[in-house]
Amino acid sequence: MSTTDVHRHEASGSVSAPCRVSALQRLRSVAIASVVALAAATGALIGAAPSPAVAAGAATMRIDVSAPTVNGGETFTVNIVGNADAVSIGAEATLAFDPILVQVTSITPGPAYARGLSLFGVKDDGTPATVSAAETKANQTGTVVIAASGIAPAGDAVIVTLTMQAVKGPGGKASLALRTPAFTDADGNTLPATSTVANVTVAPTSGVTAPPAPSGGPSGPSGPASVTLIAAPESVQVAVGGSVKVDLEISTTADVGKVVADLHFDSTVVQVQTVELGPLWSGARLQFGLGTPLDQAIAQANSGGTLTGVTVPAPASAAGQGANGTFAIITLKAVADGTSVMGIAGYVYDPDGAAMPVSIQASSLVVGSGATAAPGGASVVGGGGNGSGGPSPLLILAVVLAIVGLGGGAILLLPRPGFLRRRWPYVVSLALGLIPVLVFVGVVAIIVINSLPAFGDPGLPALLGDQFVGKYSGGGFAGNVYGLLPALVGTVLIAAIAVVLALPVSLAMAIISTEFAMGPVGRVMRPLIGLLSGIPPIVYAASVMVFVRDFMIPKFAANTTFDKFNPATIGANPATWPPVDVPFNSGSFPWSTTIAGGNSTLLGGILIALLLIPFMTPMIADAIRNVPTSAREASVALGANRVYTLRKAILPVAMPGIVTALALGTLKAVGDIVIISFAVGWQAQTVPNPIADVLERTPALAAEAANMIVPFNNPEAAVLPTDNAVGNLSALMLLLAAAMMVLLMNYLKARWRRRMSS
Amino acid sequence: MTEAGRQSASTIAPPVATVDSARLVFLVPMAGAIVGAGVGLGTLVSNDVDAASVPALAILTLSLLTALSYLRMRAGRWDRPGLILLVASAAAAGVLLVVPQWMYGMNVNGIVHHSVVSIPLLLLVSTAAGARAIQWISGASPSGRDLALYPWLALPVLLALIAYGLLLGDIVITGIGGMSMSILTTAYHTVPSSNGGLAISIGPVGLLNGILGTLLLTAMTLLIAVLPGVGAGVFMNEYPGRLARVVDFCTQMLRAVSMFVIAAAAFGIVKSMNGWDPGSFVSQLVRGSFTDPVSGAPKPENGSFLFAAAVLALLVMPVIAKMTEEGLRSAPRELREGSIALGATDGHALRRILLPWAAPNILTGLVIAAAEANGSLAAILFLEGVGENGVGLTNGVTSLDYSVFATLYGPILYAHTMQKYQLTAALLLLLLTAGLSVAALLLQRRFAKRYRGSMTAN
Repeated sequence: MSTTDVHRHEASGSVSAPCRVSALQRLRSVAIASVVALAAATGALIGAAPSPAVAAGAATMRIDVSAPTVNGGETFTVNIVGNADAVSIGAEATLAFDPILVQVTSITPGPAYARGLSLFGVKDDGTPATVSAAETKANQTGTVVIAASGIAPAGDAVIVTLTMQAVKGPGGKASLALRTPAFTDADGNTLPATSTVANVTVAPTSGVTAPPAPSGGPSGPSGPASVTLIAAPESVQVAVGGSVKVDLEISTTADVGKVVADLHFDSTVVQVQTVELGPLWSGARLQFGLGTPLDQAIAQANSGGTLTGVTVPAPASAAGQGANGTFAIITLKAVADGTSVMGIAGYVYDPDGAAMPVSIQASSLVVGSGATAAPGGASVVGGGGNGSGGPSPLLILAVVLAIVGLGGGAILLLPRPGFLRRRWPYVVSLALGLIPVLVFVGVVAIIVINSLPAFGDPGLPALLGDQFVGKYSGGGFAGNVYGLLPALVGTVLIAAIAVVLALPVSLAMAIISTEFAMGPVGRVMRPLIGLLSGIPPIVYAASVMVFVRDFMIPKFAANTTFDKFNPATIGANPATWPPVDVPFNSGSFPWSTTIAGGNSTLLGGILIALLLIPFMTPMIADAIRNVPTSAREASVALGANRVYTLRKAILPVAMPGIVTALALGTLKAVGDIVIISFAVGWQAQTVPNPIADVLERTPALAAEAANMIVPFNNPEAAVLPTDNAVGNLSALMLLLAAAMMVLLMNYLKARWRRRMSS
Repeated sequence: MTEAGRQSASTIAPPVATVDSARLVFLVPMAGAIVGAGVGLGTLVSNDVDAASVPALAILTLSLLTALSYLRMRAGRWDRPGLILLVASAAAAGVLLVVPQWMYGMNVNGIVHHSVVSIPLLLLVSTAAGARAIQWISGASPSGRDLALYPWLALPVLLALIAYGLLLGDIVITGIGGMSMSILTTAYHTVPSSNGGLAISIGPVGLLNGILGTLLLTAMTLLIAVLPGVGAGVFMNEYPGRLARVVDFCTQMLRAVSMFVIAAAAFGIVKSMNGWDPGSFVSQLVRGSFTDPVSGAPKPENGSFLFAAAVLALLVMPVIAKMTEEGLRSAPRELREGSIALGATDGHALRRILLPWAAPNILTGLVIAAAEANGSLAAILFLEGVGENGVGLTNGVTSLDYSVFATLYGPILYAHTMQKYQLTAALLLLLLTAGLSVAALLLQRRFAKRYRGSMTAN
C-alpha cells in the first residue's frame, strides 16, 4: 500500500466502513514504516556508536626525587613529570610508595594541569576525592591515584608535585613506582606511557618507631602496659566454598580508648564476607577508617587483600577493666585452594588518644579440597552462600514458561482437525493473551525465589523489628539490622499525605471538567490534564533540586546556626545526625559539600501528590462521564438542582470508578521509588514519630528495598546476599498489596454491576 | 422555614444562568492568576529570590479575596466551615515555612521564600478548598441554592494549575538555559582509564545518547508490546470466560503493581546470569555488552536495550489491551450481527470488521503507551547506565530519564560533568512526553468525531 492511498482515504473524509478498513491499513503501514525506520536507525546507531580507540604513540612518565637519601623526619619533593610527543589534555597514573618509610604531606597539581579538573581517586562515599582526602588516604594505602586534565605541551611537563616526609625509624629503601601511566591526546585517545621507578633511601634514626595514627591522633608516647592483638584461631583449614570466622582479639590490662586494626590476607584465596562487632564491647560502634561504609570497605578489602581500619572505640563503661576479648569478628569465605596468612596490623590508643605499643600474633588459613573440620575455636560455617545454592531464577522461569506453554499447547491441539482453520482468532488471541499471564507468573516466581532466603537469614522476627541499620547508616549498631517496620510506617505516612492532598483536588478537577464546566478554563481542562498526566516522575524528582537550591540551601546550608542545632530537641539520634543516607547531605552530594539536611517526608508527599492529581483526575472524570444520561435526566426532571443531582444520581453511580482511581493512586504512591529517593531518602532507621517526622524524613519501603538490591550511591558495590533477599521480600510485600487492591477493586465492581442490573 | 429556605424553594434558578454568572466573576481571579504567574515566571528568570515570592503570594491573596467576596455575595453570609478550613490551612502552611526557621535559628529573610516554594502552600490551600467543596456537595439538598459554593470547587483547580505552572515554568526556564546545539548533538563519553580505575571525561559532553536511547527504547517497546497487547484485548472482549478473567487479572496486576517489583524481577534475571560468558549470544541479548578498551574483550552491561524494551513492554501491554478492549466494545451490535448474518467466519469478522473498527483506539493506545514508556524509569532503573558505549540493541540501555537520575546517583564523573544539564534533560523528556500526550489527545478527539459521525450515518 502506497502513501497516496492513505492520503486519498484521508481526503475523502468519509465515515463509512471502507474508511474503517483504511484505518487498519494505515496502522499496518505505520507499523511497517516504523519497522523500516527502526532498522535503519539501529543500523546507523550501531555504526555510529562511539568506539573508544587506543592510539599508539611515544610517551613516558618519570619520577623526579629532590634528594636520593633523606633522614627520618626530613621532607623532600617528588615531581611526576610527563613527556608526550604531542599536546596532551589529560594524564593519569597511580603512584605507589611504601607508607612505612615515607609519607605524603601535600599534593599540588603541576602548572600545566593547575587549572583543569584534577581527581585524586574516589572517596569512600563514592565522590571524587579532594586533595586533602587523597593525602590522608595515600598514607593508609600507599597509593595516590592521579587523574588530571589540562593542556600540556609536547615535551616535559610536571603533572603533579608531592611533598613527602621520611618516617623516623629503622630506615630502608623506599621505591616510588607509577602504575598504569597514560596520557589523553588532543583527540581524546588514550596514550599508554612507559615509566621508570625512583628510589629514596631513608637513613635509620634511633628513637621510637610508633606507627602513624591513621585518624590523625597523636602518636609516639608508649603506654604503660603491653597490648597484644591476636587473629584467632592460629590456623584453620577450610574447604573451598566454606566460610570461616576469624576473631580479632585484644589482650591488655591497661585502659584502651580505641583499637584500629588492619587485616591482611590473600584475596585470591579468601574473601571477606562480613565484619561484625565482637562480644568484648557490645554496643560499641564499628567503623572503617574515615567512615567508609561496610560494604565498600569489604569491596576494597577483597580487591586489595587488606581490610583497612577496623576501628572500635571502647565505650566509657569499659574504663578501668583492661581489655581482654574479641572486639571484631570477620567472616571469610574460601574461594580457591591455597594458604592465606592472616596478618594483623593494629594501632591501639589509650583513652587520651596516645598510641600504645602493640605486639602482634597472626594466624594462617589453609584452603584445600581435602580440608575438614577446623580446630580450636574456629567456627566453620557451611558452604553455599550466594549463588551456589538452589537453582537460578532464570532456570526456574524457563521451566515455568515451558510447563505453561506445553499445557497451553496441549489444550490448543486437543480439539478436532479443522478447528484451527475455523477458530484461528480464538487460538491466536489466546496465545497472545497468555503472554502477559506467563510473564506475570514469571515475575512472581523470580521475586518469590529471590526473597525466600530472607526467611532464613534475618528471619521473620528480625524483619518485624523496629530498627533498620543498613550499609550507609553508620549507625550505632553492629552489623546489619533488618527491621522493616520503620519503612512500612514511612510508606503509610507518605501514601497518606499524597492521597489526602491529591484526592479532593482531583475530585474537584474532575467535577469541574465534566459537570460544572468553567468557561475557558473548563474547555482546556481535559487536554491540560492529559498533558500533565504525561509528566514522568523523574521530572518531579528533578524539581527537588529546585526546592533545595532555592529554599533549603539559602535557608539551612547558608545558616551558620545549623551546626549548633541540637538534634535531641526533635528526638533524633545524635550519633546519626545529620543523617548520612540522604541525597542532600554533605559527602553524598557530588557537587557541593557544604549542604547539610534538606529533605522531608512532607516534600516527598507533596511531590507525589502532584504526580497523583493528573493521574487520578482522568479516571474520575471518565467514571463521571460514563454515568448513563438517563440517571441524570430523571433527577433533573424530578426537580432536583445540579448539586443534588451530582450527589444523589451521579457520584453514587461513579463510585466504583472513583474507588478504582483511589486504589490505583494509592498503589502508585506506595510503589514510587524515584521521587522518594530524591526527596526523602532510602533508609528508615527507626519507627518515625508520625507528627514530628513529617518535617523530618521517613523513607518508604519501596525506596529502601530498591537501595538494598542496587545501592543508589554506589551501583558497583557488592551487595550482601541478605540485603538482596530482604529487598526482594519487600517487593513481594508490595506485590501482595497490589494483588489485594486489584481483587478488592474487582469485587467492588462486580457487586456494583449486580446492584445496578437488579 | 427560614427566609433563605423560602426564597430558594420558590425560585429554582436555571442552572445555566448560575454557571454563567460564576464564570463572569471568575474572570477576575483568573486574569489575576495569569498575570501573576507571568510576573512570577519573569522574576524567576532574573533569579531574584525575594522579588519572585511576592507575585506568588499576590496571586494567592488575590484569588482568595475574590473567592471570599464572591462567596459573601452569593450566599449572603460568610461560609464559616470554609473560612475555618482556609485559615487553618494557611496557618499550617505558615507553620511549615516558619518552623524550620525557628528550629535552625530565626532568619527573617528565609521566611520570604522563592515562589517555587509556594507550591506546598498552594497545594495545601487547594486541598482544603477541595475538601470544603466535597463537604458541600455531600450535604446538598434538593431545595438549597444551586452552586452556592461553586468558588470552593473552582479554587482548588485554579491553585493546582498555578502550582503546576510554577513548577514546570521553573524547569522549562532553567532547562532552556542549558540548551544548546552541542548538547543535542554530542554524546556523553569518557576516555577509558587504562589503570582500570578512574575514567576521565574531557571535551564536549551532551545528551545525545539519552535522546537516541529514549527513541530506540520507545520504538522497541511498542514493537514488542503491540501484538500481545492487542491479542489480550481481543481475547478478553471476544471470548469471555474463566481464561479471560485470568488474562484480565494479570494485565490489571501488571498495571497496578509497583514498577519497582518488575524492576527487581528484571534485575534478578540479569543477576542470575553472573558468570556467563559476556560474549555469548543470550548474554548479549539480555545483558548487553561492550568492548573493554583496555583488554579488547567483551564485558557485560547491566541490561541491553532489547531486554529493557521487553520489560517496558510488560508495562504498556495492559494499556494497549485496555484500549483494544474498549474499541471492540464500542463496535455496534448491528455490525457484529450483520457480519454473522452475511456468513462471515469469526476470523473474517475480526479481520475485516472488528479490528478496523477498533484501529483508532489501538492507535491511541499505542501513543499513550509510547508516552508511558518514555517516563517509566523505575521499571528499568537497575538495568540502565549512562550509555557511554553507544546506543544499539545489544548495548547497555540508557534513556533520557536515566540521564536525569544519573546526575545525582550516576557514575561520579557523569554526575560531575552533567549536573548542570539535569533540568535540560528533564525539559527534553518533558517535551517528548508532552508531544506524545498531545498527539494521543488529538487522535482521540479526531476519532471520537468520526465515531459519532458513523453512528449518525448508521
